[in-house]
This record gives sequence, structure tokens and C-alpha cells, in this order.
Amino acid sequence: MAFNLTRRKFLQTATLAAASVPLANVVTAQAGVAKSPFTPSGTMADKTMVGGICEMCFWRCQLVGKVRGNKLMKLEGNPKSIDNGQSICARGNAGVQLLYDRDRLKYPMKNVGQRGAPKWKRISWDEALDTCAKKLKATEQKFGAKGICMFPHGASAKYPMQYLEHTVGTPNVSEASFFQCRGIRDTAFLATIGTPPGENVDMANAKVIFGLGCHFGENVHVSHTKRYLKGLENGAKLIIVDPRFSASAAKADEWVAVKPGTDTALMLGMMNYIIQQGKHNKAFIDKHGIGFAEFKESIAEWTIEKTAQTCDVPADQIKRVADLLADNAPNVSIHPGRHVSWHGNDFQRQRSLGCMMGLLGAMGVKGSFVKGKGPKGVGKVGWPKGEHHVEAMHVAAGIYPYSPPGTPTDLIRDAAITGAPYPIKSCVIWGQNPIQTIPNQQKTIDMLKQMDFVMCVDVMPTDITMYADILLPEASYLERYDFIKTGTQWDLSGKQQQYISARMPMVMADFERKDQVYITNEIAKRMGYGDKIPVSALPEMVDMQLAGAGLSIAKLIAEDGIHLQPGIDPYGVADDLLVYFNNAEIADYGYPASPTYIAVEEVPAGHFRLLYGRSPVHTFNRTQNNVWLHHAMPENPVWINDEMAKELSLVNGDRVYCVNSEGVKSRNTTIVKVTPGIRKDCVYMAHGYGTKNPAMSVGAGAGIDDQALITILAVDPETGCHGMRNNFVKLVKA
Amino acid sequence: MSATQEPIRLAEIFRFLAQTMRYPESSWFTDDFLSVFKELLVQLGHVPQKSLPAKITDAILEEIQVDYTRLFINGVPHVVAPPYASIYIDGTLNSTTADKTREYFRSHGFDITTNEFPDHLVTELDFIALLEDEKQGSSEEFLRLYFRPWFAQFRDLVLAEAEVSYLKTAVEVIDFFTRIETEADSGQAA
Ligand code: SF4
Repeated sequence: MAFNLTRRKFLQTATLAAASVPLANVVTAQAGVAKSPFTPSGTMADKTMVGGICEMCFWRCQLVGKVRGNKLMKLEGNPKSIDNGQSICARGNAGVQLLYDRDRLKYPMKNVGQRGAPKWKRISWDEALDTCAKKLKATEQKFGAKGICMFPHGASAKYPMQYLEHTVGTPNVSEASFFQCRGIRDTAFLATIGTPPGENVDMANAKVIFGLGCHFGENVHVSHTKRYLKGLENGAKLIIVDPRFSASAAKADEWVAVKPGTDTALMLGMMNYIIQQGKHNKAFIDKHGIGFAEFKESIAEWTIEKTAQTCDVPADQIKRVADLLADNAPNVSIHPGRHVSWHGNDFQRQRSLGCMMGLLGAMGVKGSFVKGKGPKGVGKVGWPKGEHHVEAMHVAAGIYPYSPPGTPTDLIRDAAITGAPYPIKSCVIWGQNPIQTIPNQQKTIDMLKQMDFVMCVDVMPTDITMYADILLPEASYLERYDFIKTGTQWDLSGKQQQYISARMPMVMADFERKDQVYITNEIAKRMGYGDKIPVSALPEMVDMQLAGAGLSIAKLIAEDGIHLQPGIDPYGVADDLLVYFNNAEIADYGYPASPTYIAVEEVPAGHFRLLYGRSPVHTFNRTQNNVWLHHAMPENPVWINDEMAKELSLVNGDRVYCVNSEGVKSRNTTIVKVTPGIRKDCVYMAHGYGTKNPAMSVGAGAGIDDQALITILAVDPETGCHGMRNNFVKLVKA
Repeated sequence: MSATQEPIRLAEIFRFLAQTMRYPESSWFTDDFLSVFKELLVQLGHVPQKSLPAKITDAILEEIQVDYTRLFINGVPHVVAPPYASIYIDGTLNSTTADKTREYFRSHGFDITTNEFPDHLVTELDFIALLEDEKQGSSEEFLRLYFRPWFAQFRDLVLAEAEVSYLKTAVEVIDFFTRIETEADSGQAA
């Protein structure tokens, strides 16, 4: 259409007399610009906002933000921090880019197409909230609260999770951070040393640091990395057990290239050797050990020779490593790991790590397992528990006795797909991308397809959002109050101090993004639970929590975002500490009372075991669309042993697909990294690439989504958590 | 002379054009609105195309909303034409172009009032309307330096990809009113 006149001509001649109403009458919206004081260019003042708490990963470093207008220009570590200090990692810096990611969700949306093939329509918050509440209520009324399931992740998901679990009353909540990550570690250590371990090893003051599958440097968590590097700087010996020559292995005194899946055998062999050599800490075991005699007997079969053969590790190296640990005990950091959902035999491996701590007495002393003594008093605010308590499926069935909190993921998926033991018809997904966190993507899709209702709350259009009926845009961690972070100085041997900080917004949320308290409360009101709402807004919640410690948001701001107070010496072993080398309760449930190696499936001919891990510039799939981080590592090269590559005629930089042993082919390709730094029986890539949602314009098609290749399900029998390293792939040239 | 017979002011036109590119909602996207829009086209020398709806029904509104969402907010496979200058000038959202745009507003005694970004199409049209309110023709510098450098790319994307003709037409009308007219253009038509 071309208009064959000029504006001047138009203005001279045109009238809108024939229109039904005057022009001005149909312009109803308030203008987005208004008169304001005249301000010369370049005079917009910069402000430093205190109280930021990073959530580009779960470590939650303390930040300050440099803000101009309502625009965040830069993030830095809070100079007052005694945790991360002024340091933040690449991802922390790139939070600015998340904030202004062009693909970020801006408005509530309704899917007027199909789940998986969405067609979006922007809707008002009222319509969105009405729909969510009506649909969830319908499920609750027809199937009971248990007909609703939830997949949460991150600080913002805690409040809605409590609403659904406590007040509405569904037990069907599955957090990836437990069931596809660290839950096994936590319950295994609870059953061994009586406490979940976190990553609380005093590496900065250790004589030896022992990491099983830990790839420090590729996983970066600032204060944790500081402890690790300080330890190395102080001369700690480093032992890294990993099939791959990781960033940590590159710094190690001993790189133990263990056969994947046999780590428990390695631990048992080393512990047996230490006992046989009489190098175990007898005094510590006498005082704190339970079931040591049974344990000793149970692992006696693990001779050095058998261990060497099972683990494909030289016998001499096993002895060297065991001696190094024992000779430097008790100032030894046996790292408990974090992402430990590997092979479906993981509870036993995690128990063996706890037993090694006990065997060496590497607890409570410098350089060993030591929990910092953080401040007390920060209060809790939460949704009240409803009257109806529904037992979780695994509790009712008497399985997975060491499940972490929530319900094992596959019980939820299976119930939803089969309708047994009962139907699950509504799904709330909050901050998690179950397509890339949970193995066997088709099963997740099948689960979602049979739902009556699916809602997603997120900041980005991740894969899972393609399956939502209603998609809600959330304020990011830089735009809201919430998480209270407490702790101590990062070096446990330093001046003893404690800190309390609370997340505060760096900038106000743009567009129509809302926080978790607003969204949850509005849904709760519409579902008839308005009288149960614990707080009306996020700042109120934070103030109530801080009040327990005599603080408030205002006081924290006055203290530059972080309250410091004198600390307590964390060293020392409690008299009542018990280390369960043999735990009879585990046997009562029908599982091995002493740590036991359970063999995993061998690699089928012509395939490699698929291993995955972290990249220092990404937090799994959460950061794949961040253009700054994408530039730092745009795809996830697949590592392959040089001799195997030669056999397959692959050279560095060749582009390949992966095809798994069940015939699933990766959607995208990646490049090959040929290296002697990986065993011949496995390949490796960084996890969390290759989103399938094209709305992620940076991440889509970039690298291989390893989760799509993890189709064979392994479930840890004690915990119900997934094992995700029991899949096998071929590399096929693109 | 009734209100509708008075000469049209450019400021009013820009305010109207800003409205055309807001998210269509039943509160304002009405038959009356459509009637004004069509009459504007007539005055521009065009008989409104048949493809423009005769009446606004729920189904028609939804069709336009879905296309608007796909083009400008969240589309499959991805947003077709993000309505932000920064995207076209710098390749990212809320970049230095957005900063400079806001600085320009402020240096002329205006500022943004919503939590939209300053370089959003609607915000810029709102600003142009305010400048024209103060003095006819005073938006020319802004149009030349800030608006046209990205709008032409945006326009082409919408014209190539929009499914509903209302959005295409609105963009064409905005194009007409924001074009930089040369002396020759003015002389020829005068
Ligand atoms: S380690 Fe990095 S990404 Fe994680 S919280 Fe700290 S700065 Fe943020």
C-alpha cells in the first residue's frame, strides 16, 4: 500500500468527519512518556544498590549493582562480603544479560495452540490467575490435592511449593535439585554421619583434598573455589578420581582414571587397604563409630587386586592414594560431591564417602569435614499445614526409604501416565525445566500431554514452557526480595565472623513480571485459601524473617546489605557424633547395611558411556540463552579418547551427532574434542545445551542436549533418585 | 463545525498511531476505533481493504491478539519483529540505544512513566506526539536520528510476516507519518 500524498497535503485537507467518533475519543491509553524536569544529557546519576544475592547458580554470592535510572549497568561482589568477597564468576557478571535477554518472558500468556506446539496469546494477569485457580481447583475437587503435582526450582519456588504441599496438601512435588542431583548425598550422609554434608569441607586448611568426580574449576562456586585454591596454594595434595582429565585432574597429584560406575568399589578397596595397614583412626572409631566390625568384615573381600581389576585402576595407584589419605589424616577433605545422581547405585557410594571420613577421623578438625557455625535467629515464614495429610506414594508403598523430601520423580510421572495408584491431572512447573533436568524426555512429555492443566512460571521460554497452557513471567532474582543468606567467613580458620544478608532488588521489574508471593497469593485467594496467606508481599516476608535476628531490610541497607557479627570457632567434634559404618536400619529396609558396590551395566560393543558435567560459564540449561555466556562457550564439544577417535577416523573439530543405544539421535550436532584425557570407554560433554525451544534464539540449536540421549532410566533403590550415566552413545559424523 | 470536522493535528495522529500498536484489548479495540482507523485510510487516499474486519468480534480480536503476540512478544519459532530500537541498532534489548533514547526524552523535558523500555515503538510514538503537541514539526530531529533508523527494518519484517492485515496496515500508516519528507516531496505535493 502506498500513500500518494505528503503529510503536509494530508494535514491541509484531511478531516475525519465520516468516522463514528472523534479521533481523540478512541485514544484511551495513558501515554508512556510525560513531562518531567529538563535534564541535560549525561547527567543521569549512577547509584550503587546493595543487597543483591546472585542466583545465576545456587551458590548465591553477595552482590552490589551499579544502576543508572532503572537500568542495571553492572554487577560486582559486595565489598563487605566475607563469603565471595568482591569476586563473582562469569555467570554472576552475566546476570545483567539475563535481565535484558530479548527472549525473556514479559507478559502472562495463554496457549491457544497445542501443548508442545504452542500458539501464544498475551492475556491479562486477572485472566491468567483466574484460569490457573479455576483449573487447579477443579483438579483438587475431582481428584483431591494429590491430583496436582509440582516441579519447582530455585528460591522463588519455595513459597508456592509450600502453598501446594502444606496448605493445598499434595505430596507430589519433585525438585530436580534433590532427585536429579544432590538428594542422594544428603540422605546417605544422614544415614552415615547424621547430617547432610553440604559442601562443607575445609579445603583451605587441608593437607589432602580428595574429590570423587568433583571438577572444581569447571564447576565454579566462588567461596567454595576460594577454599579449594587456598588449599592448593598452601600445598595440599590433590587427588581427583574421574574418568576424564578434568580441570581439577589437571592440577592433581593423583589423577585416578576410574572405570565409570565402579567408584564405590574403589572406595571399599581403599578403606579395606587402610584397615589392613592399621592406618585407620582407631581412637576416633572407638569413640564415634557404630558397626565398625561388621563394616570391616563386609569390605574385606575388596583386596587391592580385586579393586584394581574392577575399577581398571593400577594397584599401585590405589595404594598410593590410600596411603596419601591415611598418612595425612585427619586433616583430609573428603569432598561429599554435589551432583551425585550418576548410576543408580549412588546411595552406597555416598555412604562410602561418609565412612571414609569416619575411618580417617577426618571430621571436625582443620582441613576435614567441618560445618561453619552460622548465625541463629532468622525466622521462618510459611504456609500453614492443612487438615488433610496425604501420604507420599513411596511412603504408602513402603519403598525408597531414603528418599529426599518430596516424591521421587518417576512415581509422579508413572502415576500421571497410568492413572495408578491415582490420577494426577494438573501440573505446576516453577523455575524448573523438566525437559532438560529429568531423563527420558518422552515420558515427561507423555505426562504433560495427559494433564487437564499445565502452568509454568519462569523468566525464560525454556523447553518446558512449550507445554504450558498458561505461562507466567516471573521477576528475576535481580528484581525482587527473598532469599536470606547466612553463613561465616569463607576460610574457616580466619577471623571468626558470621553474616546475615537478604536478597534485595537491584532494579524494579520491567513489563508485567511479578514475584512469587503475588502470584501464589492471588491463586490462593481464588482457590479459597485466602485466609491462610502468611504474608501479603515479599518485603514483609523478608522483614518478618529478619526480625528474628533483630534485623530488618532498612537495617541491612544501612549496613551496606550485609550484617556482620562475631563468630564461633567451628572446629571440634561433638561428643555425641556417631558414624554409622554399618547401619542396621538400612538392612531393616532390605538394603546393604555396610556400603556395598553394585555393578552397573557394561558398555555395549561399539558404544561409549555418556558422561556429562558442568561448564564454568554455564549453570546447566538455565544460562544457555545468555548471549555473554554463549559467546564464552557456544556449544558443548564431545570429548573422545584419541585412540578411539583414530579408530573412528574422527579428528578434532569434526562435527558429529550422538545416537544412543536405544536409537535416539541428538537433535543437533557438536564438535569433537580429541584428547588422551578421557578413558576409552566413555565420552563426555557439558550438560544443559541445545534447547529445543526456538524461542530461545541464542541457545536453540547450539550444542547437543545430552538429556535427550538419557533415555534408559536408572533409579537408586534406596532413594528413588535418578542415575543419569547409564546411557551409551555412538558418534556419527554429520 | 463539529469536533470531527476540525483539521487534524499531527500530535493527535501520533497519539492515535501509538494506540494502534498497543496490545489490542476489548476495552479499546472497538468498532469505533476501527471506524476512525478506516476513515484515516480513506483520507490517505485508500478505500479500506476488505481484509480489514467489518466488525470486531471476539474471534477477530483473538486472531489479532495471537498475531500481535507472535510478531512482537513471544512467537514460535521466535518473535518476528521485536518493537524495540535496540534490537535493530545493537542486536540486544535495552542497550545503549535505549539509554540514548531516554536521555533524549529527558533532555527535552520528558521521561518514561511505565515499565516499558524507552525505545519501544509505542513509547517513541507517545513521545513524538508530545513533541508535536508543543510545536508542530518539532519531532523531526527525533524521527531522523532515533526513529527511522530502526523503524524501516521493523516495518519490513511486519509487512513480510504479519498474518492479519490490520497490523500490516497500521505499520504502513506509521511509516507514512514518520517518513522524512524532502523539500522536493513537499514542493511536488503542495
Ligand atoms: S558462583 Fe557465580 S553464578 Fe554462582 S552465585 Fe556466585 S557469582 Fe553467581
